[in-house]
Amino acid sequence: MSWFSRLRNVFRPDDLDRDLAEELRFHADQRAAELGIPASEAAARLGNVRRLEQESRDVKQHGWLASVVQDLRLSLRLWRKHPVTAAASILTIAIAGGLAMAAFQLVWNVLLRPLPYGQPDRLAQIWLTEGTENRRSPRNEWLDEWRDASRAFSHLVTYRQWRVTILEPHHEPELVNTLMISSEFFAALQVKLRAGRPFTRPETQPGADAVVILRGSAARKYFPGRGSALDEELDIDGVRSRVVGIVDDGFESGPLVQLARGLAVTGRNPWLESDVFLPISRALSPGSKTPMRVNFAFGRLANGVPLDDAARELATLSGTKLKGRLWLSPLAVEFAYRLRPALLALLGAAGCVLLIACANLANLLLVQTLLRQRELAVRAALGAGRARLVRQLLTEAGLLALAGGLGGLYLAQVFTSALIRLYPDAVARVATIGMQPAVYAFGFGITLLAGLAIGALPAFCATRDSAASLRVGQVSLSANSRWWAGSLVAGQVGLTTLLLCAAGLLLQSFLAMRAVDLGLERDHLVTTSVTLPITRYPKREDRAAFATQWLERLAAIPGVESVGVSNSLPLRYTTLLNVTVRVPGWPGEQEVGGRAVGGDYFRAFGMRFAAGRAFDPGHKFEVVVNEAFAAKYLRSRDVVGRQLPQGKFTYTIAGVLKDVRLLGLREAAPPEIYFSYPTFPLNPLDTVLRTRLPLDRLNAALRRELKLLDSEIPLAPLTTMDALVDSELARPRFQAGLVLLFAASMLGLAALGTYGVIAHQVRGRLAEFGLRRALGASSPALLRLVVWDGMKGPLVGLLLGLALSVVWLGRVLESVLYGVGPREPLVFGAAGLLLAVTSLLACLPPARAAIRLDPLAALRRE
Amino acid sequence: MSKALFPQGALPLLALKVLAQGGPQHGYAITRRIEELSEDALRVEEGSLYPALHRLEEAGWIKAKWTLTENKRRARIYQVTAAGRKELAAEEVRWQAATAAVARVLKFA
Repeated sequence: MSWFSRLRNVFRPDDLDRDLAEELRFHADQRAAELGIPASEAAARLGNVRRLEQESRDVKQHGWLASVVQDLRLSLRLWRKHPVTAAASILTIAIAGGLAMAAFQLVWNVLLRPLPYGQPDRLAQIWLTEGTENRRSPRNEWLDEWRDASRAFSHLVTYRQWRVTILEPHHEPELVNTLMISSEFFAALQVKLRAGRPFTRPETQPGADAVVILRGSAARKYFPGRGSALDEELDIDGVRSRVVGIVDDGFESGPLVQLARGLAVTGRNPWLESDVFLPISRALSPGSKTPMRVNFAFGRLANGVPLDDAARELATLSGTKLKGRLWLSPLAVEFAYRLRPALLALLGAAGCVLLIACANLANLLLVQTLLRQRELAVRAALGAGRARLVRQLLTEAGLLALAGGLGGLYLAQVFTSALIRLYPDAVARVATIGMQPAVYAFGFGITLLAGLAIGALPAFCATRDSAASLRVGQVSLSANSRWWAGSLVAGQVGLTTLLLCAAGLLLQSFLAMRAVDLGLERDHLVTTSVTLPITRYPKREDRAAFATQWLERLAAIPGVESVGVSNSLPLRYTTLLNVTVRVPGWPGEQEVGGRAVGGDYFRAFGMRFAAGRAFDPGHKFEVVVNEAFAAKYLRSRDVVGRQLPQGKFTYTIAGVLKDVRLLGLREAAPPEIYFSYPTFPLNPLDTVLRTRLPLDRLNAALRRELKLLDSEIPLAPLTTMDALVDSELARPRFQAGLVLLFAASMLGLAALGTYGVIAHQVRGRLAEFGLRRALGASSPALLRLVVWDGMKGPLVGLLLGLALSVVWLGRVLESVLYGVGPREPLVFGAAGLLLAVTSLLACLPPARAAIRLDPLAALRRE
Repeated sequence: MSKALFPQGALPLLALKVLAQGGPQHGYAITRRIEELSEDALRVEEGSLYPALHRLEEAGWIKAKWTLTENKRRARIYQVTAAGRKELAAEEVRWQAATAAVARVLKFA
């Protein structure tokens, strides 16, 4: 019979049966005619027709496939009868598998997926290790020399990110993040422009005509309704710049932007794609030299040249100028090198959770299978071979794994988007994240493995000696495997304790940070910023005059209660002025952080004075110091009225400000001096407003006023103080949330594991319990027996976990904790209690089963 | 010939032999022929011949097709294949060796 007809038979058992029935009927009729006996008697001589049918069907059908269908039917029936076990298993696999798939999805997209450039493995970042600094960019002038001399590189590129003001008649002036690039940028990436051409080398030299390359979407935005934006001009930072090239909308500059940002302080700023590309020479302000090391350098290796050879060549070319070590690293590695350890740790942790989940489920299914020992024994006695039984049990487990895997696929999407949303920094390439085939393959693979893992143990143990189990009625585990089961429980309870303690500490720390008193009133506070173009405001008087008018106009907006300006917004890690002053009684000059503030700065923020008053805005030489300054330099005595000489000027302290945390939630205020803005009229002009106006109305009002003052200056997006504080909390929130997620999954798993092991033990000791019962043991005594036995493993794990937490956790978490000790007894106590109660609850169902046991029935089973 | 194909001992072997000697025939004819030759000594559950035949068919040693008998009834006619003849020869040798061994044990034990 052909393979196809056998396959067809699987789905058409009726035809087969009809064939055989007709054959048998023919036989019986012939027999009856020959012997002259009734048809019924002749039919009876055939024997058990049903069994014959089954036997014949077994032969004729494609045995394997047919029995798989049968196995699936049986499995479905089984799990419908045990919905709780099935649901618990499916949910466990879905959560653990979903975590693993989410972690893999991130790892795949950020670390493994090839970069969207031609031959991405030939692209290498160039770094210089000097002193303690591992990643410095080589000097720009070296790069110019290398570009001409190098044979190991086919292209060498420098680039940097930079913010410019774009002014276009039909748009408001806007601040735009750009990439400034050298001429070979696109050639090195093997990216073809959609129209126009890349920059020429002269165009990237200082003093050349201004040119720009736009993304297609930006070209359409700035020059709507025109066929091509080529040769149009755009006002960028006050310079008319000619469009020479258009990049495809799909061009991914994210990895390079991320590389450039990865070294600076990152934040939730979603900016990762650049729409505007300028020559690298534009990074110079007129008259100044190229900044030495703010550029990043990468190159395309010539075919066949290994990284090390290329690095050696560059070192040789640099000669004696080179003080440190030059090294190359693949661009794919570099752009995410900060994320790599975290992502791999995430994948590892998710893998551990999946492993533990599988171990627990295997245990749970083993108990379930042992309860069905008689059924299996009967089936074995009726002729089912061991292979057949093993396959049946594996199918049962596989079905659970498959259902769990499908759920996991869905949960993976939920987890991934939650991780991305909660993650404090923007990450390149996650915008294009999706369910790639690789993720499906990974999901299918781990599902298959999970099914095998959880099915193999019961399949092996329960079918080992089915004939014997028909007599005895049960199989109990050996002392060895019981020890293993106990260790498994202890291990995961220990791990869970550790995770719970960590989650508790992080949560406590997060709450402490949220409750930090910044020293200012954060409600109804909005900040923004204005950058004055240095070309049109070259003199400090100009800038001071602008600030005065700006403050006047804003204060006049109805609904604005108070407004102030300064050179640095709070919680933005902006650098302060470094001021050197002489403090009486201290040797030499002291370097102190300074802020230049104007308008109603103190009142707008709701800052409080410990002594004295705000300075008179008109008085150039009055300053305000904070408590930290007063405490450090003046022992807080007679501060108001003190003189601080600086060069030929002398400042007078007008007041002492209570400390304010402007650097960060966790940073106590350093000594600071506040100057009046006209003393240091700095750029950008950071503005703070106290107002109850809705943001959009305030935004419109601010833009209107700014336009009246100077129509070519962009306004930075408005940010409320609450949002600033919230972005400060993003990192601790993410850390606490992630660890909490893992801790919660592990807590559920630990409960499942404890339950499985204890149910198993109780099952193995039913006869003993029956005997105890018969000899008069009371219910509480039996309960104690089971619970004590069951709690041994969890208790050992709990103590180990707590000990480890006390010794080790504090050291690991020290740097991220705030306002909570590394050995917070409350946290550890709560974690321990939670675990103990959970383990106890997991013990109860098997213990109840032991109590409810009918002693006679239990004894009879033996 | 594997043991799994012969759960009822010699029945498939006999059926194969009958088919090889007597040419194409239906199941009932095979049953009659075995009864005749063994002088009713080999009495098996009559129906069990059919799973045995199906097994031989599955193994490719015989083939079957539906035909009409003289009195216009549909009957399934079995016919031995070349592979079946080869297998029969080998199995006959094996069977005789086995029965001879059993006989020796019975005689001298």
